[in-house]
Amino acid sequence: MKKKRYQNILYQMVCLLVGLIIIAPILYAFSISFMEQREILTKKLHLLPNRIQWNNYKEALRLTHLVRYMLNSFILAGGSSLVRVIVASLAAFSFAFFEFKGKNFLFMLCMSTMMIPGDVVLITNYKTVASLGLTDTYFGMMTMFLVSVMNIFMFRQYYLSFSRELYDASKADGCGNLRFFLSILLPLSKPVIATVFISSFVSTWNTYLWPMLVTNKDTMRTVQVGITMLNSKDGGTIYGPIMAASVMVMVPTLIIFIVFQKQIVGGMMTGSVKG
Amino acid sequence: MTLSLAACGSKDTGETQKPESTETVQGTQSETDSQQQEEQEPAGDSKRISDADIEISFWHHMEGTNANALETVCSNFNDTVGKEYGIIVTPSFQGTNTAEKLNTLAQAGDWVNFPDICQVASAGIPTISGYDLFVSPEEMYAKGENIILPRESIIANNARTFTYKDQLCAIPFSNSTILLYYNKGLFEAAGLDPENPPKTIAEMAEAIEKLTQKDGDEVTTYGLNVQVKRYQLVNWVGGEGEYNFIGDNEGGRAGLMSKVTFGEDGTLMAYLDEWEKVIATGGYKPVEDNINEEFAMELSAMAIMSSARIGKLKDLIGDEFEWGTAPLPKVNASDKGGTAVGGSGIVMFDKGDADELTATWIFQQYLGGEDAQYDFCTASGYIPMNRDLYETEKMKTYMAENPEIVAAVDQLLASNPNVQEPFDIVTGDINSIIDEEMVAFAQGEQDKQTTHDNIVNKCNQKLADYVKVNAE
Amino acid sequence: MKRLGKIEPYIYLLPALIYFAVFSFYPFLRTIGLTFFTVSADGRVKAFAGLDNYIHVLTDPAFLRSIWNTLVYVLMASPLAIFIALILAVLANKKTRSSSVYETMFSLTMAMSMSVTAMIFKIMYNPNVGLINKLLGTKINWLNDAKYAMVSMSFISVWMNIGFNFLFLLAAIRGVPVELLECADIDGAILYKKVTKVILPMISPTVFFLICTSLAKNIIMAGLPIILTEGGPKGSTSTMIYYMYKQAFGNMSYNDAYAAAVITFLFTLIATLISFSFEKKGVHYS
Repeated sequence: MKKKRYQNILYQMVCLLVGLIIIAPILYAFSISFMEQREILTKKLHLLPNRIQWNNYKEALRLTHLVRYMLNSFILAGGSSLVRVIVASLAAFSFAFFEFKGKNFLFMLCMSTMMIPGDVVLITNYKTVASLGLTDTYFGMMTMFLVSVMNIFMFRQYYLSFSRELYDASKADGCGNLRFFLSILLPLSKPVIATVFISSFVSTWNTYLWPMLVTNKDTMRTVQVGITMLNSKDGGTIYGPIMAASVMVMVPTLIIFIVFQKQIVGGMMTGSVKG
Repeated sequence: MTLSLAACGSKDTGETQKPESTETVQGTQSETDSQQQEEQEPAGDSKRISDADIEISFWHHMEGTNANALETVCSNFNDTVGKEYGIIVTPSFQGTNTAEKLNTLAQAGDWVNFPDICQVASAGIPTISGYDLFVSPEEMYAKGENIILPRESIIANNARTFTYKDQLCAIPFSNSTILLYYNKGLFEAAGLDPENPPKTIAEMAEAIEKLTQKDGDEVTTYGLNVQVKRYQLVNWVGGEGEYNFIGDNEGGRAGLMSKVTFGEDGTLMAYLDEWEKVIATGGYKPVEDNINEEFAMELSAMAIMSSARIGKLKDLIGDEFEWGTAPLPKVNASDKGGTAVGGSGIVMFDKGDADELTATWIFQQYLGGEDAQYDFCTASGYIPMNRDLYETEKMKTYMAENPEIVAAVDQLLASNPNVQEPFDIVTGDINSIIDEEMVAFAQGEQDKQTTHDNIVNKCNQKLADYVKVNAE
Repeated sequence: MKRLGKIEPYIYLLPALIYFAVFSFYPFLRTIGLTFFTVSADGRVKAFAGLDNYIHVLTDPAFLRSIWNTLVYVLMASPLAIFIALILAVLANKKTRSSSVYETMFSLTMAMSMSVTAMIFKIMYNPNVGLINKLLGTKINWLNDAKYAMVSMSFISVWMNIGFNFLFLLAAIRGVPVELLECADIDGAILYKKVTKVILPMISPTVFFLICTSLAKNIIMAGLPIILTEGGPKGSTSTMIYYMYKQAFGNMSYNDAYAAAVITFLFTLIATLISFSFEKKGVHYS
């Protein structure tokens, strides 16, 4: 019994150690955010700041409206992730539970959108969004991120391993498709919803080009643009404030992680759902 | 009730305020009314362009402290000249490449979202000057109205940087030149005169020999660090002789550049002859990893970079050691050309409203004026483009306090205006061709002649491709 | 009711299809159309060009090198990022008190934006004073030596993708019924068997998903070379879409850019079709 406990503690230690190795670059960035300019690159190995000083954080907040940008990014990432989950779960429902004409073709057609490089459709999409009068709006910023076939694909994979019998049984009980979807399928899909939401939130949170293209006011900027504002192309990279800003910008994504992680922990499919 | 009264009141004073002000409570309303009346009263000869304030949108690509400096300049304008003329400028950051965003808008035909005025790197001028909305300072000076920045105040070199087909297309704004940075302490230790840095590439090669420190076979301190790309090469080659255009049509300034000329006129070979001496020293580092930091750590005794980095180096080096800047070492001792002006200028667009255009023109000139240039450049480290500013006491004091900038200014004023980075359009390709070939040359993978021929032929190939598609 | 039954699946698909039609198919078909014409720097169509643009791109050594680079990159980065994430997911599957801490750690790399990641690695890769050379005792110029640059860049990409892959794999492994795992749970010696015989088949839908998406994502990757290397040194890190990006924005050559984009698209399509041909054989749904 005791041996098992020690094993368990050892196991956790190993996991935490591996975790530390993996996030080492992030910890290094965190450390740099407290360093003075000339401490960052030195001849000797220098991992920790000489002393904790908040100048980089103050500088980052003085030079940009980072808090405002975080709010913008939050609206952008939260809004588009929500829409993504809704649209993707619906589309995947169709792909996974129905047989219909052209299903495989339509699925591959959707998949092909994943292979189109974003830069090549940029100008045409800008034209579309501008002609709809959506420049300088949150919705305009979201337009590029509202639907992702990756999410549809993920939902489909999940639904496909879902018990077919459950669907047939609920149909036999007179449960309509939409009702099955809303009251049985979705509640059981929490883990996949959580993973899709986290992944799309984080990726949208970190986008740069599109939000900057469709907005013209400084008040509509997002966090990645804010971080860029701290750089200096002509003068070479100024690491301290950039790392400080990156650390601050990472906090909301961390919160999203922690909040949604519990859903994944719940287990993707329980034995009873599994036929 | 109060609202409607206020609204009536504002009508009586001749619609001087913006419509939003009707929403303020009556007390403050009447106060602003009377204030505005006082300001309006002596305005028999008011400079106001129109009754309502004109709002100007200003796109820029300045970052960090430079962005702060620019915002200060804008708010100064709003408080002074802007107030006189009734102009309010709102600056906004548009990413590191404003020309790219303008180009996207232009291709999408979205002229509505165009700014009134925009900061752009010089390379974007040929494209931008072709936009329907574009208005050049040349045309505005020709009209002769509302001139607050005499054209002669713009240093000829800076003006030439933004001149395309004989038109001044932008007011120069954030400019820099290329400099030699050197470590005075290491110069002294190597027995070199720290007040007499190398003037030619050959002298520089000699200095590198002395400055390089080795631990066995391994170099611990490089004599020189610079990666020769387009920017560096055109400065060297462009400065040969009196001046030297990099390509035909005055290096693209008189029309489409269809080929490079530094091959046929021998200037590239002249440079490579000298550069070979630098490579032969064995103390030259031909790639840039973290060039600022490595210079600050005394891992390289000399470095060649833009004057815009002076501020960053000051921060990095602090009091660790003495360092200085010097003009870019020449190819031949007899060369008189000097170096090119780098950086950005300000372009304006006509969005269809005459008053707005006038207001934009006034702001555009303001950015090149003595006050704006002094405030902006002293805070950012760019070199003022206004000739008159250098005559003022405050500028003289600033230069005395910041000796590093002096070399950049002297070099700028001594250079021939025809020495410029070319308008080569396929800039990206030319940059990577030069980069690849020069690194291969420096690392001993190919000889001088091959390097020369490759640069010339590959650049010409890319230019020919471009001309084939785009010639009228 | 019967009628609705026939169109019902299409109704659920409609939002996604409309969106894709407007923001993916329409602009991309337009681009494909333009590849058969000469387009000037200001985006104007000048003349019919047939296949000239494709021929021009496919005879450009820089693009051919980019194709090769992309293949090397994809073959390095995609499997490695999935493999490492799979190990982590197996490791994290067992719930302990500190589970939530290391689960967050394992998935955290996906929270980093590409630009900031690139900056951190640039400092760490510095040949003279960077962390990596100091720790390894080497003198390698990771990003400026054509021999190492692509490997160094792939490493960054692997690191960034670990978190994303881990998150999905963890969710999948947690879904493997406990009884099944317990049956196979004897001791460490047969952990390998447990993974290959029990876990892998059960999570194959997710693994399949990750393979398909990471292939597509990596084939069209351009961010790292844009921020970090500008395709250098000596073109060793120029990917196909980086080439496209450079032609469009650095050289105003939409002819090369669009043709390169379409060719890249075809590559990705082929890779995806090949993956899907394995779906029936290797992927077990329920």
